[in-house]
This record gives sequence, structure tokens and C-alpha cells, in this order.
Amino acid sequence: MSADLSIAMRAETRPRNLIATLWASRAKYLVGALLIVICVVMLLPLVASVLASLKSTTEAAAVPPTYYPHGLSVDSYVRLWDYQAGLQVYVGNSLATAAIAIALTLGLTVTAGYALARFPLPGKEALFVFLLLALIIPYQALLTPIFLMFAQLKLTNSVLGLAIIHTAIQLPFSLYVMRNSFEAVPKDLEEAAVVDGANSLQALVLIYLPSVVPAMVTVALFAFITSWNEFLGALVMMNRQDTFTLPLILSAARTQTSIGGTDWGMLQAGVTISVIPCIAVYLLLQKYYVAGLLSGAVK
Amino acid sequence: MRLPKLITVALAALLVAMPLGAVAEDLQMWERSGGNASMVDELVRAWNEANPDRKIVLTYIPHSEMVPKIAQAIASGEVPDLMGMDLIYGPQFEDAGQLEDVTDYFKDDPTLKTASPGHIQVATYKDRLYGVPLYADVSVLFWNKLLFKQAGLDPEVGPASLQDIHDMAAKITALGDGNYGYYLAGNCAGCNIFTFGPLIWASGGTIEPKDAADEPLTGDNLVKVLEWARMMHKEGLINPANQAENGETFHLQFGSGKVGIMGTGNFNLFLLKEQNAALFDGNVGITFLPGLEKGKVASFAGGDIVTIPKGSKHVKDAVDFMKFILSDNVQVESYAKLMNLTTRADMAKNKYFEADPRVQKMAEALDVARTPYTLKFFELINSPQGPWLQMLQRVYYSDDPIDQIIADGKAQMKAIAAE
Repeated sequence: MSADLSIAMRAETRPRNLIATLWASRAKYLVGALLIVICVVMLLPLVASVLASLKSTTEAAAVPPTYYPHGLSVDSYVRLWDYQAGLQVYVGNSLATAAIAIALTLGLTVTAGYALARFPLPGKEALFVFLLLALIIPYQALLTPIFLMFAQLKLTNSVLGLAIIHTAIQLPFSLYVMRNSFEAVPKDLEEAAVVDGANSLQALVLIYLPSVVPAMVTVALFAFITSWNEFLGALVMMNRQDTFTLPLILSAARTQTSIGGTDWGMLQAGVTISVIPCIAVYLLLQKYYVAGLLSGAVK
Repeated sequence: MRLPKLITVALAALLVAMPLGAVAEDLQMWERSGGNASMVDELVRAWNEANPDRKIVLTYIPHSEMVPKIAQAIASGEVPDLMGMDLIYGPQFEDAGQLEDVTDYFKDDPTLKTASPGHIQVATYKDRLYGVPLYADVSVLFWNKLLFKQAGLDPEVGPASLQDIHDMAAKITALGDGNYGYYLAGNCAGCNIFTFGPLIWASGGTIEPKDAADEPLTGDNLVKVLEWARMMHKEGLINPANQAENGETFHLQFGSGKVGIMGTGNFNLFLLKEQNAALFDGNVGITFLPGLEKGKVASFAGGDIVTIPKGSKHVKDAVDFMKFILSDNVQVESYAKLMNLTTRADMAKNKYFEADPRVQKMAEALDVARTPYTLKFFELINSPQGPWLQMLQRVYYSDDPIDQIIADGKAQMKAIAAE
């Protein structure tokens, strides 16, 4: 009895022990079953989509639809691959845009975050909040003026122009993450470096950057996912099909008749292809990603 | 060590991105996605082959974003040289003064006289011409000869009136096994104006108002057509799943082989070839969409027109493309060869159509077809929240009195027309 009580008390004070207790008892089957159910619910749409993309053209068009493919076929992928300039062009545009957006975002927010966290600027709190204000303005409202400005600067129809927009969308959040993680680095480290004769750039490169790698990975990941999925900005900025990004092509390729008929097989093939890079990047960087979220959130 | 590498990557990425921004001197053409892409691809291919020094670069703009995209392009001056658009939006852009007037270029052009009247009508505004037909979609009635045989009906005789449709559909529905006699899309405004609208026209009714002074939804028989539609639903002759049909699977219904009779478009024959070869090979009957009385038929002429937006730098070349697609050779060797309707009536008699009477029949539908002419087509008809779909849904699925439904529809349409 007293043992039970002490377990219960410990469980209450330390949540980690609650999990351990549950896992040690027979309740683990219940927990396991629950987790499996959650996984199934989360994965089902993805699996259904991949399966549908592997149906033959005839089967993908079946009414009512079949649950799983009765024969595997890559018809839908071939059709998507050959659409207009070829899928590789659009994937290339999307990747180039995302890469530039990541580079610009990191370049701007690492330096800005460092300055805001570590330099004795007058009114820097107010400045920081002011920079975050951009979060409350929907970027959709700014697209038309941006487009008109970019048209004069010859930045429309260009991957660079689109990447600048994607960077702008991503800046406030990234700045927030970067500044907080710079603040989390103990000041003693910098002081030690300064005593050894480092200037502020050296302190940034040699001392700070290695400590904020998780935050940089987080920022890069978010920039990638935002840029990869962004539709409206690309629609507004890009006027020629050889400059289109993947979301635009997926939207254009799926409509089959003038009254809105959808090519379901091709749509699912597009969904599958567009999901792959996101999953790959996430799996590669997930270790840093989780650490990055913590280092940004907990000072 | 990390930072220099980062800068190198960024610079390399910028260098890669720069050349993509360069401007080519080809003609730029936009077309909405989801129209007849195979036809437009072929036209551009034929033109580029004949005009290697002034090629056209074709870009498909996502269907649902076409109107805002064009408006924005015109506002910024970054316009394409040619623009294919849903013909129904023609008057709106002509009224806004956003298209190049091509009347004088076509003054002595004989091909225009036989061009699809529906297309030319919407391409004309205050007696000035702003575009020519790019391709034509017409609505017709398909029937499934395999199901007709099973139900003991003569597979070679299609329905000639709404009563026929009802009687034949009842026999096919009686087969069971998931077969239904007829199909209407319950949640798709566009599908209904395309395939249900002609049933009203063929019965002497009208739908949309031309302008604020015009009375919408007129005709003594309108009530009877709507009562017929309600009866078709109430008697279960239409698959109840239609209530969720927003157009995304409308084009696949007939090819499922489970629908006896259905109003659909010429594009459906081409799709059928891939979707259901057994049906395509000699088991599809095609006739006109009928009205209450035998012998009265109608059709909706849809499709796209090709126009030149104001600000195009290659107007002369763009006009040449318009003339090119109306020329005899292209009409036969591009349109007809791909089993698409010719956009000139006098070209409908050609070797390709003569080989397939079904296509011939669809080409003839252009003669009985009409295209609504209104500046507010989207708000009145095509909008998912508009009065047209609201009215039909009440007819199909509620028990509200038909007279009341029509009166409400009239009031809503008038209010929109008066705005």
C-alpha cells in the first residue's frame, strides 16, 4: 500500500516517472494500442494517396473509387512527368527557390538575432517587437504591391524574386527563434573569447554559431517547408510555365475538363512526389529539429 | 567555418537563379488549365512548326485563378501576347477595355462568317470583335447501349423528349446492381448550366437575365422542366451520391458504365476511349439534349476564345495565329483529326468526321447551341453560392413549392443584375 502511494506521489511530481510506470505495467498494451490507432489515423491519408497514385489510368477514374490498386502502374507518374516542360524543371525551380530562401533567411536572421540578443542597442526590445509585427499582416495583402515593384526591378518570373518573397514570409518567426537561442548561450563563453582577443565577428563565428546550430536547422527546415508548399506568391510572381514551381503545376495539371473534372491519379502522384522531399529533409534533420525547438522556446 | 560555406552556397544559388529571369522574344500565350489541353497543345505545335521564327510559348494557368491572374497582369502591364479564356468571361473583359480590338484585321476574312456563332457572339462587344474561337465544347446526350439492351430497350433509339428520358431511365434503374437511369450533378453549378440548362431552353424557357432590365427565368414550361427534375430525383432514377457531386468526378460518371443516359460534353467521348474501351467501341449513342416536346432540342456552346490582351507587343503575330487556327487546313488536320469539333460550321463535313457519325452529331449540336451573354455569368450562374445552383438544389432535394423557388431565383438574379 505504501509502495503504491509512493509511486503515485512520484508519478504526480515527475511526469517522466508516470510514463515509465505505465510502460512497466500491463497498461503498456493499452498505451501501445492507442499509439497504433493514432498512427493509423495519421498515416491513412498518406497511404491512401500513395496507393491511389499507383492505380492505372482506368482504375484511377473508376466510379465509385476502388480502395486499393488491383494492379500496379506508373501511368499517373508518367503523365505528370511529361506535363508541359517536364516535372524535373518544376521540381528544380522549387528546390532552387527553397535553397535561396533558406540562405537568405539564415543570412538575415542569424546576424539580426545575434545583434538583438547580444549588443547593447538602445530600444532593442521595441525594435524586436516591431520586427515581429510583420506576423500580423497577412502577406497575401501585400502581394499585388510587391508584384508591381518587382515588375519594375525585373524580379518577376525569377526564382530569386520568389525566394525573396518566401524569405519575407519566414523572417519574423525565424528572427524570434534565432534571437532566443542566442540569448540562451551563456554570456561567460563570449566573455572568455573577448578576453582572449576575439572581436564580435570572431565571437559569432567561433563561439555562438556552433551553439545555435539546432536553431539554424529549425529555421532552415521551416523556410524549406514554407517555400516548398507556397502557392499564392508563386502564382502571382510567375507568368511563364518554365518558371512555375511544383504547387502551381500540381494545381494546373489536375484539372481535366472545363467544368472542373479532376485527374485523380495524377493528383495523387503529384501529392506523393511533393511529400517526399519534406519527409526526407525532416528525417535527416529531426534530431536537430527537436533540440532546436527546445533551445528556442526555453531560455 | 560554417559561414563562408553558407555564403558560397547562397552566391551559387543566386547565379543559377539569374538567367531564369531573362526575357525571351517568343510570343507568350496563356491558356486556362483544365480546358481542352490536348487540342491547344496541338494548335501551338502546328503553329510553331509553320512559324519557327515566331514561336509561341504556352503556359497553362490554374483554372480557378485565371480571372484574377489576368486582371493583375493587365494592371501591371506584364501581359502575354495571346490569351485563351473561358468564352463566358469574354464580355466582362471586353467591357473593361482590357482586350485588343481586332475587328479591322478580320474585315475581309471569309473564315469568320462560318465561325461558331456562340463564340463570336461573346467575342463581340458593341459591334467590335475581340477574339476568335479557340475550341468548342458542346453539350449533348449520351446513352449507354449495353444498358439499353439489358433493360430491353432498343439500343439504337435514344430519348427524344424529357418523358422519354424518364421512361427509359426507369427501366434502366430497375436493373438494379448499382445502375441508374440518369445523372445530374447536385453540387456543380457549371455542370448544370452545361447539361440541365439546355433542357430548359429546348422547352422554351430562359435562365439568366441579359441585363438589369431583362426578366430572368421565364417561360411557361420552366415549371414543368423543374418538376420533371424533381421527379427524376424523387423516383430514385439518379444515383443519390450526386448530391455531393461538385464536378470533380462528373466527367467520369458515364464511363463507369453504370449510368444509362446522361447529358455531358463532347470531351467525354475522348475520355471514354481511355476510361471504358468496351463502351467507347460502338456502345455509346449520342443525340441532342431534348425538351418537353419531341423535336425541340438545345445545347450549350462552351469552350474557349483566344484574345489579345491590351499591352501585347506582338499584336500582328497574334492576329496571324488567330487566322491560322481558323484556316481550312488547321480546321481539318488539327481539329477534326483529333476528334475535336471544328470551330467553323462549314468545316464539319470532312473525312475524319464522316468516319465517325458520333462526332458528326456533336458537330451538328453547334447549330442548336447557345451561349449566355452576360457580364455577370460567374455571380449569376457559375458561383457555388449563386442563385442558379441554390435554385436547382431546392428543386432536386427539397419539397418547397416550385413556384416559390422560381420566384426566389428571379429575385436573386435581378438583384445581382442590378448591381
